[in-house]
Amino acid sequence: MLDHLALSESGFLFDARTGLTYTLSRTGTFLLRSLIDGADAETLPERLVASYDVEPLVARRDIEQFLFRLSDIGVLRKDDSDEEVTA
Amino acid sequence: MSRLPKDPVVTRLPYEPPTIIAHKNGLANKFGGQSARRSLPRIEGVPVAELVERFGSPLFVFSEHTLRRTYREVHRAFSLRYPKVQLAWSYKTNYLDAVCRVFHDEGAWAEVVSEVEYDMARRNGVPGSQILFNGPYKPEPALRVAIEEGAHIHIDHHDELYTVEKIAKELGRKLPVTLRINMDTGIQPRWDRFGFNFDNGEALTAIRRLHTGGHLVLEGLHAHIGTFMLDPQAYARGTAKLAELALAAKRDTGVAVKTIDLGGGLPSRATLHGQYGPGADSKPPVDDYAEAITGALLAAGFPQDELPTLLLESGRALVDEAGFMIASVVANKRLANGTRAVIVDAGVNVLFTSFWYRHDVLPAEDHGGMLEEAVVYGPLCMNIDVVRPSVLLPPLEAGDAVVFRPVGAYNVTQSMQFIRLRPAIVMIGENKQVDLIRRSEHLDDLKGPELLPERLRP
Ligand SMILES: Cc1ncc(COP(=O)(O)O)c(C=O)c1O
Repeated sequence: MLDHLALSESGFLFDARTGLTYTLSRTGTFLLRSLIDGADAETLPERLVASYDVEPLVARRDIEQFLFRLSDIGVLRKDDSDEEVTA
Repeated sequence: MSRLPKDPVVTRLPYEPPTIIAHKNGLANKFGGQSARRSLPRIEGVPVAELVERFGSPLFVFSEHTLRRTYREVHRAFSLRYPKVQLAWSYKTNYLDAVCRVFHDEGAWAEVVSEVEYDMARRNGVPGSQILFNGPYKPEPALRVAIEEGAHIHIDHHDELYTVEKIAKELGRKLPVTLRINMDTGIQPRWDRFGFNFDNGEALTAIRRLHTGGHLVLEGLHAHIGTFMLDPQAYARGTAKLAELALAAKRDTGVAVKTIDLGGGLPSRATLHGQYGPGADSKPPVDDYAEAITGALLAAGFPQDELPTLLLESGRALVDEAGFMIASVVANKRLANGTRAVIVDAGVNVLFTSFWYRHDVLPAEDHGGMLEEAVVYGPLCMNIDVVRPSVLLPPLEAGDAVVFRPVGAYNVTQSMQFIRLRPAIVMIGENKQVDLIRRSEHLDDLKGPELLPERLRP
């Protein structure tokens, strides 16, 4: 369901639905890669803490903001959304 | 999802917050391609972290080395080209005694615009004969003291001319005076509210009147054509007009003018809002200004033995780059429109020049992570409290120090106790010794002058 997103290892993201491109930080890339590979959003804090040197509380806070931002800018969308994002 | 494999032996990667930045297709990078990672871990060799540890945050920091170096650069640029040059430090730019005394130690006179500033200069050991007294309002008692002490009175308007004439009559001796002149130098805004106008002949008329009155002698001509002047040619035009006026005065009255004063206005390396690219890149070197001013003076046709002394009243250009403001991150935010916001503990009440300058903002330490555009807010509960509307910054955590520069000009004098009190100020000496030159304020500093009517007391 995120197959419109092409994410490179270096953090370059192409959204085929909008034609827009993005750059993600290393942890941003790690998290979005996990989601594209089918991970449940609930497990993201645990995954981040396992791989990166970060406190669980900080990880939870940052992930919450990050996911909010992804849906805010239209990279993650509910399938029933009518919203369009253009350049 | 299955449970994640956990291997306690594997060291975890260094953390940076997850972020995503949209590419602005086809738009030129508004940071002028300047996405190199920059940080400022030390000021004059002293670690920023150590300064915060010792003196707290926010903290103004002045570099004595930069004060002296800048003064010498400006002085050298003019004195290499012209035989008689005197700089007068413009007090309003920064009142700190430590700063003023460094300039006086380098040989600067003082330029003041009120009796308060006059007294400051006197307390710093400057004799009246080395004080240029400017400004549209000099109360008569202040004028009398300044005249008594031999200060150079720069007359701003006809009413002041009459007052000084009256004092001269009373004293029974001829008083030397300088006239402030305004004129069109081809730049906007034109500062025509101070002094006598050149272009419509008001200035020459005033000089003739002054001469026939018999109580005053024209000593000098003064013009301050504007501030942060990016065009040296404006000074060339201003100098040529002052010289023309001086020669006309000599013709009409027989008195040769001793001093030509071009005021202040030289720019610093700050960047103005709306300026493309860093200001340091577009600011003409001080040599260009020196060439424009001294070139015009030397070409004006003064007889060799009547070459006037060139006075300059620089403020900003002498002090701006020597001043730094260390602030600390208070919080990170994401605004409703997605903009990244960083809140720091220094606001526009102490960084007044944020309204004009795009200050350089550098993290003391770059922990890595992706650079992202951010708006930097101060800690005041006011919408206007924006210290930098947009800047590329690495991820920052609460408590991280950032350094604003250049902030040496006008911030200390125009800062105010609004919502927060004013911070401590230190000076780093040539030997890297750090001295507190103004302690941080307490409530009594704010409340001390107040008086409570009896009926409102408990
Ligand atoms: C008469 C006069 N001289 C000198 C200055 C110093 O100007 P700057 O800081 O631009 O050099 C000013 C500033 O307003 C001024 O009014």
